[in-house]
Amino acid sequence: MAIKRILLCCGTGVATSTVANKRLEAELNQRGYKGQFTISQCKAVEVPAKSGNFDICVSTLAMSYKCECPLVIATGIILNRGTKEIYDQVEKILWKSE
Amino acid sequence: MFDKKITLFHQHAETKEQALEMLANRFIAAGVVKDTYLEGILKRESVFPTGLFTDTYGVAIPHADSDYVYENQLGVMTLDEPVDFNYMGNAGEIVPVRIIIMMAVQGHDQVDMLMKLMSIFAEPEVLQEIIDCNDYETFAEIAKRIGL
Repeated sequence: MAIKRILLCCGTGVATSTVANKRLEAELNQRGYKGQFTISQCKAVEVPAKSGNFDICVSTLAMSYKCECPLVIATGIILNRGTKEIYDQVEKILWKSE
Repeated sequence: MFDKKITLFHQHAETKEQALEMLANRFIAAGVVKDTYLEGILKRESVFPTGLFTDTYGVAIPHADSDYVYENQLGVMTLDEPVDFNYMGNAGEIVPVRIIIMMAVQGHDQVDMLMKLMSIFAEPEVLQEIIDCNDYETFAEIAKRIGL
């Protein structure tokens, strides 16, 4: 199975996406996908240039930039609110869309 | 992370810009960020707002690009009346904010601290304690307890 490539972005690429990265990784591992994905972090402004090389973009903020792959807005990961729906959506896009 | 003691409790501000200026000036005075830090904060806030809803008080976590930062530092400000921020998840939504946690962070090495910081947004009791805070010492105890 191909390794899924996840692009995680926030405004500055250092704060909220760092937290979301840890939490998303832990959750996907728990769901049994350990070793089946990689997560890269970037700034939102880099999304138009980078997103074409990824299977999904998970953003902690509302995105006005062009995204070349499926996009999930995941502010809830920061707040620990509505996280199940967010993780379900990520899982569906990456592993259950075929 | 609060060692420069940048804490402003029970403040009053008309706008988010005013509140952000008060906080950013303290960071600049402490020498932990560049003189242009406020511009960086305001620019970031206008493009990517940092307001967050919690079950109780609105919180904002303003921060600028790491280029502006010399030294990692956090600062906290509480407001007796909320000021309007825009929601991080949808800039069209207004969040009335009473707790502002300004974050000067340089890189990914602060992940544990950021995790702990962001876990308090789901803890109404901790947010209430911060709102009730009157001085740095009380706040430092809370911060220490939650591992900041």
